[in-house]
Amino acid sequence: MLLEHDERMALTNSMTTTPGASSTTPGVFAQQDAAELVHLTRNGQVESRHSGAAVVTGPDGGVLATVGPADAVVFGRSALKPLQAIASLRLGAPLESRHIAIASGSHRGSSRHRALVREILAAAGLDKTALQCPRAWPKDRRELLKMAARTRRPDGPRPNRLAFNCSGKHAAWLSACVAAGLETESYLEPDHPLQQEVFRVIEDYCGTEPVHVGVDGCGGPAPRLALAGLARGFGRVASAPERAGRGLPIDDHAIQVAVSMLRHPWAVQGRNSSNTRIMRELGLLAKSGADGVLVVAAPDGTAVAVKTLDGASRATNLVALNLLARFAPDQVDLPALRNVLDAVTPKVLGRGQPVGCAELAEPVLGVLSA
Amino acid sequence: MPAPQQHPDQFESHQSARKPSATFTVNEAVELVHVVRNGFIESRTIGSAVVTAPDGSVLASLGSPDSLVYPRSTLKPLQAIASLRHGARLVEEQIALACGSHRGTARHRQTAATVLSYAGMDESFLQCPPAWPADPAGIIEMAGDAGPGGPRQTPLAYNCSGKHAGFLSAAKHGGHDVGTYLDLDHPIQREVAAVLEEYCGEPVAHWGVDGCGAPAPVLSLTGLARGIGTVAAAPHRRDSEVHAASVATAMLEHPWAVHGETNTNTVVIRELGVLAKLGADGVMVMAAPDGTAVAVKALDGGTRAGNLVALVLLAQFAPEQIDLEALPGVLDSVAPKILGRGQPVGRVQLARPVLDLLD
Repeated sequence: MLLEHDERMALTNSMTTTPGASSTTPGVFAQQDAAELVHLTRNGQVESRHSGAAVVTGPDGGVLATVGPADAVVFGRSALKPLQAIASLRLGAPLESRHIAIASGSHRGSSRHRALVREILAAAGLDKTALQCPRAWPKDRRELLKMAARTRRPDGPRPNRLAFNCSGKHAAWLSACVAAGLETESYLEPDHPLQQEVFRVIEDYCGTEPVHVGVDGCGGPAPRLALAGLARGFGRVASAPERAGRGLPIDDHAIQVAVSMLRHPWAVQGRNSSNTRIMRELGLLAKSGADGVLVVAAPDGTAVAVKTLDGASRATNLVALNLLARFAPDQVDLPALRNVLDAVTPKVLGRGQPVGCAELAEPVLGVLSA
Repeated sequence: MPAPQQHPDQFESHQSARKPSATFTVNEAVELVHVVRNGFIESRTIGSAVVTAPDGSVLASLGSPDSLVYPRSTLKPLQAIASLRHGARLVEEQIALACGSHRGTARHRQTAATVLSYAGMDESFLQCPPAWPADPAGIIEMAGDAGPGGPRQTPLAYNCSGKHAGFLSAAKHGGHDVGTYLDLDHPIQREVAAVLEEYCGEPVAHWGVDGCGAPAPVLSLTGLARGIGTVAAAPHRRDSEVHAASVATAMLEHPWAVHGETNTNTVVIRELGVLAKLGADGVMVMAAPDGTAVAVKALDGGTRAGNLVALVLLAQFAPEQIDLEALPGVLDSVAPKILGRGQPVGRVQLARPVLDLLD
């Protein structure tokens, strides 16, 4: 017996009714436009596949190569943090280099990260209660145990806002508001002058106006933009120090962001995390974003942006690093790259031992060999 | 310049019975769900799904249901049947734990330890890797209970420890070697292969190694659905195997042991009275007491699609088996949350191919 019509309608409605959404909901590229990026094999059998899109832009911002749809539009999520940090600096946030790094990062909530965020807030005369990001636990078990051991609460530790991966960005935003004499209560509103500055930075750097604003997990506005624009903007930040060295007129804030991320890579993510390793061991800027976004850029401005259709992150590092090495070979230390690839490539384990691997799929290999 | 190679190591299975193959392709998959954030589709999950009837025939399918998949932990109820056939001393919640992928809480760890102690063994016999509890609260609880030296990870906390304890109990009471219970030619694993062929109606196509170290069979998605449906129907059929009936009953009566108090499989089993079991890399099976079953594989290996797709398909094709009044609440509870600043700003929605099956 099949569902009665009314029941079926009720069920269908409960699963499809979202304010403003319908079958014509605008969105990221469709399945038929996505290209297979990576597949994972277990004991010789392909178990899963990740599809998506990747764009490589050159030092001049032009598109050098694409995998999958060339005109993908995505939420940049946390991959936009370096640009959001530029906005904070423009408004006069008094940030030191390590503060700029964590403002540009998605950190793991370790005690060292939390202390750094407290520094930013204290310098602005604020404390953690000013943060409007949600509460979180530290990401790493060792840090969790440390928190449990140190807590003075009889009922054990609680998740807190400092540990949320975006707390550095929020602290820098608050610091900018204080420096510029702006309201600190409403700093997450899209029409707040700080957020208006963020949109201008995105437009300046990515060459594309953010066309829609959603709400990110941390509560900040979540702009969506072209994947190629994301790569372009990130490439401009990465190349700012080199272009300034050549005497070109460059936004000083972009230089500060690029230098700070490379000088304090642990603050951008965490000691053994993939963004941190790519920056520390390869000298490339790297920033991941939720739902399968990653941008990596070389000092000459060559940049790669990747978005997986499914929102997973297993494919992104492998794809971005291989494409960057292909299109900016003189910017990448190849022996070091092999070590980093080995570290950031997802492991396929059986009983703790490797029993398979993640491999680049044909559409990526085709671009690499073209 | 030649591009640097991807991860260089290629592992050929020494256990391969047949030529290795692959799961379905991107083009063979269909969109199952998409994630909407503030009115814009941020991500899409593609995959395959199949619904089988109480008699094992295919009622509906999406994508490529005959393609081969690693069912991973969705096979635990069938592996538990193999353990019971060899005399594993498991009762009630211990059977449910053997069928489950638990969260490593104190209660889960204690239940696995009890199974081992019944068989005169302890955690040192477990060959699954050591692990920490899956949730921060579980780790903090473990820290609070730990003696001097602090907490340490243990194989009892590994999500498959109940299955491994069941295998060990079966090896002990079946008179087999307990040191080699994960080998493909061990009598317990040979029994697993026999159970799979009987219940899923097809031979295992290929063997790999699962994360926990146990042999990982490859089956068609349709065979998987058929197998789990036969288990779910066992308590209600006179000709069914007693061990299958024990498995289904134990899972329904002790859902906390199958996953965790607030986790999706437990919620579905407890609130709707249907079997639900997830597997790593995006696999989900659900089955109603009459034997109607659904199997889903997300091609990307993610978990966003499994619960929603399996539940609505089961409700569509076995509506009298499901409390339709409770269903919306369960759907809401197991749907991944799309949050901004802790508040919902979107949702995971069924995609057109799934909706078309509901029309």
